[in-house]
Amino acid sequence: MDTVLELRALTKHYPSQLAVSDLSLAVHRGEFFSLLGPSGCGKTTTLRLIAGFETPTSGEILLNGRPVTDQKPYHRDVSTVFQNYALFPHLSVAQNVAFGLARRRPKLDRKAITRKVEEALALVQLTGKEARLPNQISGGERQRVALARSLVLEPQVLLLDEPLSALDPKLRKQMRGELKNLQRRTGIGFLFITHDQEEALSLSDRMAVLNQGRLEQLGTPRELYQQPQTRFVAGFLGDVNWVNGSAVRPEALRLSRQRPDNAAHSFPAVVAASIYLGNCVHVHAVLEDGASCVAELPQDHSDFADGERVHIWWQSCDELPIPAR
Amino acid sequence: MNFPSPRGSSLLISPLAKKPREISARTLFLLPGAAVMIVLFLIPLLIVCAYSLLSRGPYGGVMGPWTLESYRRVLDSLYADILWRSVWLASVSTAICLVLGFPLALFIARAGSRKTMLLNLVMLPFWTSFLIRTYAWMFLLRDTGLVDSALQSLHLIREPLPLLFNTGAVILGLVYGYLPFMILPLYASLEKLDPVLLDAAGDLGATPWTALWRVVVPLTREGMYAGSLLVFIPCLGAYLTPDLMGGGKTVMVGTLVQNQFTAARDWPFGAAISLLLMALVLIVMRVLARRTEALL
Repeated sequence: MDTVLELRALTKHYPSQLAVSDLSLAVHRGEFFSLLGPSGCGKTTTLRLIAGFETPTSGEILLNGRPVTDQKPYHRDVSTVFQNYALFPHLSVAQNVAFGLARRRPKLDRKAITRKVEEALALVQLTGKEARLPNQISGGERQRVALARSLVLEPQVLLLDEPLSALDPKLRKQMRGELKNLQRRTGIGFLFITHDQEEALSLSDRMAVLNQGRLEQLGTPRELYQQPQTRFVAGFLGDVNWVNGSAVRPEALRLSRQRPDNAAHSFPAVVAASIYLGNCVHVHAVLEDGASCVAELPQDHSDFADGERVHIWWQSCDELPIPAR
Repeated sequence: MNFPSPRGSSLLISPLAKKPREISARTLFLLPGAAVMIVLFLIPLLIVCAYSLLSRGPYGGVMGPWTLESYRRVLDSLYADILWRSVWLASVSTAICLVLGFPLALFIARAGSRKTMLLNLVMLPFWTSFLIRTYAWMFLLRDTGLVDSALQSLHLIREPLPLLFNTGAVILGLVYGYLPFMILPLYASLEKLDPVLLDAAGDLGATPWTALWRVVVPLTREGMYAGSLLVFIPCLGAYLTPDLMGGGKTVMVGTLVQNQFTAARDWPFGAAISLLLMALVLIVMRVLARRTEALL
């Protein structure tokens, strides 16, 4: 795979804290790569280091194999979509998109700029809104302007800082699809920063989980979800039940009234509560040792009464390969 | 202890106690301010208007008949020159304040936790009377003042430099006196500017210089207009500074008005000039207000 962006032992100290610690990773050309982690894990600092807004304490950033660590942001061939879009409020939609093009050296002629702006706005379906000011369009449209403003520059890597977090949930899902679509069509490498594991899992080709400035694990969404190497990754990407020293996802747990014959792991338990969630039911059960667990069951296999004696069981292949506590 | 009686308090709350012809609290609170404005501003203004349309009395004061003569005389080239010079000096001083104030305001707006301290320093001169501060400048700048004697004792100059009683001294005095009025509104608009917009500009390839011209300046234009108004208007009518630091040589319109009411004993003419000055200020405000509607 062709690497477009590489971080080598990137470290950033602030006077009061260590924001990023010894972070190394590589983003491939045309890849949708996510940095996932809780707030304060160093993902935004990492983005600001890559964009050039901050200088690393140590380590290196390479773009297309060339070190850019000491380059000013305006010389780096990366572009950023900011969390609150950071559109210029005094410029129209078209002028916002043209801002970066007009800074290009050698200079682009006016016609070329107009054409590129038109194309970019068409790409994000904003044709017809060219003359509007940012405060005259909706949040979703602002998001698209921010995307167009960056994509029109055809950067080596597009950095996206929690771009969907300011949208309402319905719009967020819709924009998620569009974002993936845009990335595929443009072929530009996306480095997507998020704290939402669902976003990261659904969008990424590969992803990295950060915790307290350190890389916890890097891989495809499937690898990270099914084979988390640390407790933190397992817990951050989904719920984990700890039953008798084994870690099992709720959807891998099964419940039955009789003791199953073919199950490798089976324990008696008492149903504590059933929570109806529409597409599934979460059944909470308490084991004999007092530990509780949750099983995510399809609707037609969830007919258990509170207080009923059941057996919970799972297959060995569904256990998460993380060390027991 | 004297508690209000239950009966009294219930009367206060009861809707029955409301009189149909009550003076609302709003009117009550507005009344003192309105009275002050009417007695101390509106009535004197009307008196000035009346004066400007009367003829001069033999020992000052005014008398009949009604005439437009005073207004006609303002258009005399001598007086028009003074008016023009005042506009020019006020404009130059405003421009210098803008150029000096902008970087300062930007610095303060980006100073983090030291902001309050720096703002207090900007306002520190107001703790002393403007008159005293102007005299202090005169002590510094006069021929035997600190600047000239220091330069002479260092043998850098033989004769004292003409630092005081000229146009330059007037501009210096005006800029010194009104710079804080430029800095404060500029600071307010620069402080509101989201720093992430500068990140965005840099990210899109704009050098800091381009970002300043393309993003910061357009987005703080209102602060610039406000600051310019706050500096230009008092500069145009300045009396103390041109009189003391200009030594009466650089006559600005404020000095001219003062002269008419004292030495020249021509009250109608003084009144007419004052009103024209006010008209000029209102025109400038209208022009700028059209650009900063949110502000005025």
